[in-house]
Amino acid sequence: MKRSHSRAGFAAALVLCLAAASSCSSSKPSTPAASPNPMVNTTPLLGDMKPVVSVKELMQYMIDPASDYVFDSVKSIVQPNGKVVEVAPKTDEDWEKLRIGAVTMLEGIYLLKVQRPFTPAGDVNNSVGPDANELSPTEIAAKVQKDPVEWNARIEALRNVGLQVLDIVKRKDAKELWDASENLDEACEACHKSYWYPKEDAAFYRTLDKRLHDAPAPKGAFVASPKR
Amino acid sequence: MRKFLTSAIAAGALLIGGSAWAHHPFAAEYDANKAAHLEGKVTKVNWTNPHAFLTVEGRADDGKVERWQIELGSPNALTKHGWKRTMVKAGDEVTVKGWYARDGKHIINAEGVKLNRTGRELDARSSYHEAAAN
Repeated sequence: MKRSHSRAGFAAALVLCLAAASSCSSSKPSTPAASPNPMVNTTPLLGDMKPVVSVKELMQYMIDPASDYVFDSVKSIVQPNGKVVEVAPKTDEDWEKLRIGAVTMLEGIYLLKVQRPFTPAGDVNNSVGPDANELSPTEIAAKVQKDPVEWNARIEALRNVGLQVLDIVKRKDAKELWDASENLDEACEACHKSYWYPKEDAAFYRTLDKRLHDAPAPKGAFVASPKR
Repeated sequence: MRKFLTSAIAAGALLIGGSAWAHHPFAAEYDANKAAHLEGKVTKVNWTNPHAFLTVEGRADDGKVERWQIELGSPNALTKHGWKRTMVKAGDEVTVKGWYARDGKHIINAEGVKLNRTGRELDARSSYHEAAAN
């Protein structure tokens, strides 16, 4: 939890930095229209949003660590002695940690609407070579440009999970965190399969499946534990 | 014989530490040319999201008992396909089929797990299966 806590702290700091950078970089902020509910954004942004990191880095250093708060919130561990340890938020502090993750994920995911490089400079993903199975940043950008509606829909899908988690936190209903975690996993995977590794499709796995079942009896270097 | 399929994504960091992502391509973590077969004893079961894990101690070629992390599908996916949380216990002898990690770490992406005492084969039920079913 210490690792997660520090990572979320970093992520939260990053959100603040990004917000501050955005605010400070705006030379001529537009005047927001009056809104009866400050949570309802009916106006354009107050200023420009300038990305600091690529999509890949935003995921690695913000969204992914924030999601760990959700994934790690409930677990069931069967110990070597057979004892089953159930982990779930119990204290107010536990729920606050989960809220940190949900809020960071919720607000952070919208930063994907700020156009930014998909990878750091020089990083082309695993898009070249014989085992290339990922789209290159250029291919991803083209896909997003071609259909930005899908990009935004994927973002909203993840955001909806964040809202679900936030609602669970308010009600402190730990049992529902299992479903929320599953929803989070599905939202992440659906987007990744569309934009990151679409080549790992049904045909890819059927090939793997066949290869595994056609494999000879374990021997040689890949035998982790010979039959006794 | 029931066919097993293996996982698309990895989360070894959940158990092993480090900075691996919860989600990433199968091929980034696992080697599709290294089919895995492991027999050993379960020492720990982690029902965690986005993947459940078994810890299995198996005897390697050099005769040394080594500890392996076995990545499965999500708890919900496993439950929907016949797993129960108490089905695999510490001390159970199992046979695991799947794929070894690229980097030589003791992680296997499981396609299936067989309970040796009953002979029952359990589908590892990762997202891989959903992709292959499409």
